[in-house]
Amino acid sequence: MPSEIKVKDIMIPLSNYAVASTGDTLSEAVPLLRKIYCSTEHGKCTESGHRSIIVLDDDGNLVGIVNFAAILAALIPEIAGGILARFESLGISMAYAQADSLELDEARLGFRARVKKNAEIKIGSIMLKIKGSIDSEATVLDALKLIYRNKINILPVYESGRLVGVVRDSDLFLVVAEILGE
Amino acid sequence: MEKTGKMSMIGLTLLLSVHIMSGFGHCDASTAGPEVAGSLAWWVWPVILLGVTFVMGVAAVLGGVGGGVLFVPIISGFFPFHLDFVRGAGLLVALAGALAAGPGLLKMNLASLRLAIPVALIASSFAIVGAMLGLALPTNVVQTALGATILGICVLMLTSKKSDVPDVPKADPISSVLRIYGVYQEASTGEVIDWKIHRTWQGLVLFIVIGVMAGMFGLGAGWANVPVLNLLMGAPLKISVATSKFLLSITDTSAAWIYMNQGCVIPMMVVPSLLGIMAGSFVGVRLLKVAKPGMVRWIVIGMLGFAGLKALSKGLGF
Amino acid sequence: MTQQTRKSVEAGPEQILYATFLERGMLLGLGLLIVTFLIYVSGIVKPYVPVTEIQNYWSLSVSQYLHKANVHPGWGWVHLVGYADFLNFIGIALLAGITILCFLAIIPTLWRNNDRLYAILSLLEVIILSVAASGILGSGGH
Repeated sequence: MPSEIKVKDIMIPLSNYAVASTGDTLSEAVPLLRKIYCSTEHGKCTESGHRSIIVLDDDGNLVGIVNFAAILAALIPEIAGGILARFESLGISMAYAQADSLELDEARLGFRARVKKNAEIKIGSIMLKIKGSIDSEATVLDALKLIYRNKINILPVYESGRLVGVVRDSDLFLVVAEILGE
Repeated sequence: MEKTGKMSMIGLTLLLSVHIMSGFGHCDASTAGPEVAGSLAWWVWPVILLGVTFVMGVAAVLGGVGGGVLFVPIISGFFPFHLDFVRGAGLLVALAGALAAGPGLLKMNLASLRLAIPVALIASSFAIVGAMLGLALPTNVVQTALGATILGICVLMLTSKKSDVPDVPKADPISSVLRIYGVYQEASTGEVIDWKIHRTWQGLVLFIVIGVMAGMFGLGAGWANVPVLNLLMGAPLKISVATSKFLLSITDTSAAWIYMNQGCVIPMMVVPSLLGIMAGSFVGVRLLKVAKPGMVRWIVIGMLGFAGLKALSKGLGF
Repeated sequence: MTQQTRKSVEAGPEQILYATFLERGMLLGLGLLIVTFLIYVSGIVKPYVPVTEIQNYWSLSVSQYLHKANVHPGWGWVHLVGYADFLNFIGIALLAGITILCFLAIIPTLWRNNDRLYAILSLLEVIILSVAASGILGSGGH
């Protein structure tokens, strides 16, 4: 019964995730994410691992997550970023074009270098902030309530004040779906 | 090949439309007062301005020429607006373009604030001098000087070289004290380059002249800023172009206020021009991704030269 | 993080601050300009100089224009802001003035980072631009 199942029974342990701190840069965190996400077997990326980076602060508390969209927007702002980033990029192009200094190939040539440069950004500044937490002894119903109240889809799970894992809306879905499967 | 053809068509259309406009321009109403009812509907001229500045914006980007240097020569040469208002509008147009590009250039550390501030102090102060001078001198004197300057700009554009990363053996004392140096990343190779400048005081002296000209003629001074920063002072081309654009926002601010306070700003002229050039630049950048025809730069410099001759003829009265 | 060489590919804090202020002010100014211009040309609010007459003035020299249209130069436009044409000056003034605000904004940051020289230079720039903006400097006109 969902009211009796404890969070610790359905949570995902922290070790399954790519974990980084707020002060880490994307160039440090992304390879980690790739490793977890790919969980490579025989050199092929299985794409079966988790798709987000969990971000911890200096005290080891979960403060945010970083997903593909946030990473792409940070690495390629002129394409994937918000309207302000694209406007800024347009302004830069205009300035160089009007000075007869814009090389058409530059956009292509510079791509790798720009991605590397943009990867210096600290993940603390691009993460989606996650509020709230739950104890591992709490029930699934309590977790559901928190997730909807805080409007998040991932909830950090603490045991004796220590972060041990996360519980996601998908985990809670599976519990509830089982009822319909009966 | 067909892209070049299309671009040449655009250029020819510009030439043609401007010639038609100059037909209108000969109805010089300088002695008429408000008693004379407008011969055209009130919205005709603003719409024409919008269209012409749009083409100008496209041409500026495709031709590698600043929008701010095209506006005053072409509009004053072929339109019936008085040079006072054209310069006021021109400064605001150049200013808006620089303000739009500024944030991106600063955030990407392509424009150097440290390099810009001392230079801007000189340039903006003397832009005020230039603006006051430009409004105090009789119009035909300014017109003649403008014509000569435009022809000079054309020559400069045809002959000027660029240096991607100039060789600066040692930073000079002034730039060392001011700590004007930086690091920039070459896009194609990812290589990180330390840059510094030299011949700082010579550069600053030249910026006196640049400031006066910007203020007097209402021209965006990118065509002058970049060579001084790049070839004389030795800043890398990327940094020079960006810092120059940013610099314009400061220089043109001071001059624009002088013109504004003298009443030289007419919204019905300024706003369509501003919107036209910005829209044109935006379209130009998109077109640039498709093709960059070399023809456009020649056409644009040709138009500028033509405008310079027109200004000379107006000023000297023949 | 003081006098030491801040040799990094990244822009310094005062540069980012300037850029942020500039972006906001510029977008606001442009937005205002477009809105007020639409108000002007749509005729919702009456302009000081009727739209049909403005084309008679723009071929005159500025001193003739000021006299014939009965417009006072300098900051006199503030009094006329209720008229549609001078309403546009709000956006124009913001675009012309945003640079001054940007320089003011970075002075504290520069001072705190022991960049006293540049803080003073920025202050000087604020003064120069403000003097230009104030209209103290008259000119003969022709």
